[in-house]
Parts: sequence; C-alpha cells; structure tokens
Amino acid sequence: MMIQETRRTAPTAATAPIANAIAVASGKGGVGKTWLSITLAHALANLSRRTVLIDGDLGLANVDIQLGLAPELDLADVLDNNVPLAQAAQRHEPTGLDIVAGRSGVASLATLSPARLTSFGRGIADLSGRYDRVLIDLGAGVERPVRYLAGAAQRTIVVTNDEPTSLTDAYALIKLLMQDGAKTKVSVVVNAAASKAEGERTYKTLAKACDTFLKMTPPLLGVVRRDPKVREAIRAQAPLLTRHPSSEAARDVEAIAQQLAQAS
Amino acid sequence: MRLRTFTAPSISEAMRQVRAALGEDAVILSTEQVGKQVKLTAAIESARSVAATATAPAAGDDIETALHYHSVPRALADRLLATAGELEGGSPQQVLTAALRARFDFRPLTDHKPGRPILLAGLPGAGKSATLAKLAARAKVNGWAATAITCDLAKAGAIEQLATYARALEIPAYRAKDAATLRRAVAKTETSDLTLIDTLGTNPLKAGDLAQLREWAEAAGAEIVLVMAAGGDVIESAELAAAYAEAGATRLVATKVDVARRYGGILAAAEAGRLAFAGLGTSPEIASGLAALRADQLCRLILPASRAETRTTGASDNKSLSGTA
Ligand SMILES: Nc1ncnc2c1ncn2[C@@H]1O[C@H](COP(=O)(O)OP(=O)(O)O)[C@@H](O)[C@H]1O
Ligand SMILES: [Mg+2]
Repeated sequence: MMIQETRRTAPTAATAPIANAIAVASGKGGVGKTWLSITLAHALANLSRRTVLIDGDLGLANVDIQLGLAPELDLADVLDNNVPLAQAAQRHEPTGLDIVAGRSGVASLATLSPARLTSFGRGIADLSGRYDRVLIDLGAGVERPVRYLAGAAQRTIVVTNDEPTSLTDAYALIKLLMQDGAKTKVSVVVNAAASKAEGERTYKTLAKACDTFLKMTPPLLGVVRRDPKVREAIRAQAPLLTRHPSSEAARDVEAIAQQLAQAS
Repeated sequence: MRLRTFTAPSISEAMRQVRAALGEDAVILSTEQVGKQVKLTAAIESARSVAATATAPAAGDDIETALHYHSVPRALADRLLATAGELEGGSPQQVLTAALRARFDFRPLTDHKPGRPILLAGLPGAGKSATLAKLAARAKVNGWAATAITCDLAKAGAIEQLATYARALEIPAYRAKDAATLRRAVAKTETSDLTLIDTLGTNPLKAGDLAQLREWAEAAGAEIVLVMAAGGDVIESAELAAAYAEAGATRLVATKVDVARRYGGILAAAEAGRLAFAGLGTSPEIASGLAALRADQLCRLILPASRAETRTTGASDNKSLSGTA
C-alpha cells in the first residue's frame, strides 16, 4: 500500500490507511502513551502477532528508556540518513518485539518537513508488509504531522486520563482529525483510571463533548486502571507483562490487545 | 473547546458557577457526587471553530495551518515552509521566527538614527500621519531631535493635524508645497536627528503620483518608507508594494495591525517589493509610539504562542484550558 505523495505542503491524510497500523496519540503528554504503546505491543506479541513498535516521540524518546535499550540505530537515522525503517527495527528479545527507537533531543515530528513526513509515511507502509501489527507512539501534540501519521494508520488510539487538560487535548486531536477528513478509526483508551467505573465516566465525558460539538462519538476501546506496578516496572526498566503479569494494569492492557489482535 | 470542572455543595450552586464562568451556552458533560459535594464538568465550544478554515490559528497549530489562515501566497508559504523544514527542532514559533528572519529583512526605524530624512508614502488613509507622530514620539523617547514636514496639502486639515501633533510633541513642523520648497525645508533641518516627511496619499495606479513621489524623495534626499495597513487583500497589497518599490521604497511600516486579523497582505507586500520590515502600528494611540517590527513579533502575529510552551513554563492552569477554539 502506498501513501500518496503530496507535492506542496504537509499532507493531511493518506488516501488509504495502512491496514495493520495502529497509532497511539493523546494531544497532551504524560498520559501514559509510551507505556501503553509498549505494553500493548508486548501483549500483541504474546498473542503471536508479529509486532513492530515505532517510537515516534522524537522529542522525548522514551520507549528505549522505559525498556532500557541501547539502540545502534534509531528513528533519527531513518529521517536524517535515509536508513530504511526495516534496518532500524531491532529485535527486543525479552518482549519478542521489533522496536524502532526514537532519539531524545532531536527534532520532533511536529517540525518534520512535508517531504520527509511523506517519505516516513511511505516507509511505514513498506515496513507494514513484514508484520501483523505496526504500533506507532506518536508523542504529544496535535500538529499536522502528528495528524498525518494518525491518518495514515487504520486505527488511532486516543489516550486520555481524567484531567481536564488531557480531556481537552484529546478532544482537540479528535476534532482536528475529523476536520482533516482523516480515514482512521478513532477509539479512546482511558488510562490511569481510579477504577473501571471511573474510567468509563471519564470516557462518557469525552464522548459527550464529541457528540455535542462534533456530532460523532468515538468508541471506548478500554480502560486501564491506575496501578503502582506500572511505575515500579518502568523504574526497573522491565516490561510490565513480564514483571507483573497478573497486575490490574497488565490485565486491562491484555483485554485491549485481544481486540486489536482480531482482524481490524 | 473550553472544559472546566466545578465543585459545589448543590447542583444548583454548581450550575450557577458554570453559567458565571462559561456562560449560557455551556454544556454539562458530566455530574458526579463526591462526598457531600457535586462535581460538574462543563464545556463550551466557540462558534467560530465550526468552519475549519475560518479558525484563527490556535495555540498548538502548525505553521502551515497558520500561513493558510493568513492567506499567505502559495509560493511564499512554500518558501517559508521549505526554510522551516530545514530548521527542524524547536517550537513552531521558534522555527517560524527563524524562517521569517531568513526570508525577510528587519530594519526597525527606531533602532538607529537614519542618515537621511524619512519620507512616508502610501495610500490615502494608510496611517502615514499617525505613523509620523508615533515615530516622532519614539524619537523623543530616544532623545533624538525630530522635525516634521508635510507635503500633504491636498488633504483638508492636514497641516492643522500636523501642527497639533508637532505642538504636542514639541517638535518643529514645516510645510512644503512642491519639490523645491521641500528641498529648502529639509535644508533647515540640519541639526535634526530624524526628519520625517508626510506626503499626500499617493495613487500608485497613476504614474504621475509615483513620479512626483520620486521627485520629492530626490529633492529631500530621503528614504521612502511605505506605510501600509494590515489586513488588505493579498494580491492588491503585493502589487501596491511593487509599485512603491518601483518608485524607490525600501522599507515597510505595517499599520492598523490591531484592527486586522489576517497578515498575509503585509507579508506579500514585503516580499513583492523586497521591502524590509521597519515598524508596526498596533494602536491608535500616538503616545504608544511605533513598535519595532522584528521577526519574533511578526511570528507572534502569525502564530500565537503555543500551549506546549505555556505548559512547560507551568503557566497553564490545569483546571481550564482552551482547546482548538
Ligand atoms: N496505568 C498507569 N498506572 C500508573 N501509572 C501510570 C499508568 N500509565 C502511565 N503511568 C505513569 O505515567 C508516566 C508517564 O507515562 P508515559 O508513557 O511516559 O506518558 P506519555 O508517553 O504519554 O508522555 C509513567 O512514567 C508512569 O509512571
Ligand atoms: Mg511518550
């Protein structure tokens, strides 16, 4: 599948989204996007889905930090030096994932030039043929490049927690994707919820805003409970599913992975 | 969308707070009992945001969206985006500022004493006289001796207006009725640090007007500075600027920025006439002086400061944040 080349400026949406790609976005940072991307990808790998995780959070690359990787190649090599994505994707044995690491302190996706953005999108499309699932951690922000990559994926998971800033930014992202006419299926994950019921309440708040102002309602993909084991695993730079396989957060993420493992 | 939470002992009290803070149009998104308190989440969406292209660039928007909103001509937008693309890294504001700096000249009139008189030219009503007064006010602040000369004889009351400004600012004022008298008036301003010449509103479509402008500028040994109101049609602004540049204009003062919302016109003008940005009229107040127009100011007009920045500086109140309004 190819992403259409757009000549003039940053393109908005690919003509046909990449069928097995899942973008993880949030608008606001710090809501657990990176952790969720890693854990979801891990859960998918555990379900025998060949999975690659791309850390698109260039500004604050943290897949490598959360997992304690020391990548030889990373996304900056892909974007700056034309290293093919497939070559930058490195096997992470503990999880069975292939990972394209980001790099801290370099340019963010938000300022990627249109030409490089399109070629990055094309690279993801090419890479997607080798895997069952491609997960992309888009990092924070609602800028056009973030939306472009979301639009290039069949699915976009918008992650929020119950804070007003997070809800507002999640809403802004959904609205802009809609205005772009992005052909991605948007669904919501409420992360770090005090309980399942609290998480559903948070979802309903966001859903009501979308329904009232946008006349559309993105479905709830799942609620992940707040769990001290998450922080503990991140501190230890160990995947949650290995370290605390029966923790609440692990089970919540696995339930979401079950849905994503089905044909999209 | 603006979203806020309210906590009160009763639902009616919470509703009252919602109305007070967000107005009658607020939508209640959720209600929740928290102990003895009621917690309400409410939001409003501004009507403006319904039409995507009519939305003023919001914090968090990208450079391209902003340039599009301001109707910056395609070719110029492309060049700015290409330059911006080379400058990856930093916030959109930093990147756009750098791209503007790379693409345009910025030579504020109030930075240095100009070596020669400044002749203000532009369409009738562009704000030449107010610009003159503001420059004179700024010169005073800088401790420069300023002189005003008007050639704006055709406009009723022009001389009176200048006299009023000049008296208020305590600067000498002269009038000139033709190139010869202008030359003599300029000769009398030898000791002046800044000689400002106001002209008749020229009609750039009339070759005669532009020729006269050039004649005056030569007689005065003056630099021509184009005064142009912001918010004008993009193509019109570019053509005007090109015509004045033909007549010798080298710098641009953008006026009436406070009563405009789209700044593609002044960008197009600077580009078409290869004019350096020289100043910014942001209010009708003379005393406020003419603001220097530098790349970061120009950027701020085009792209408001981002939420990302307010967030990292901790300035944002996490109870209330504007979304893409
Ligand atoms: N379900 C959860 N329970 C508890 N803490 C969490 C949970 N999800 C995320 N966190 C915490 O939030 C922090 C930020 O997560 P991160 O994945 O870096 O967010 P983002 O990528 O959105 O910026 C993590 O360090 C972790 O401690
Ligand atoms: Mg992250």
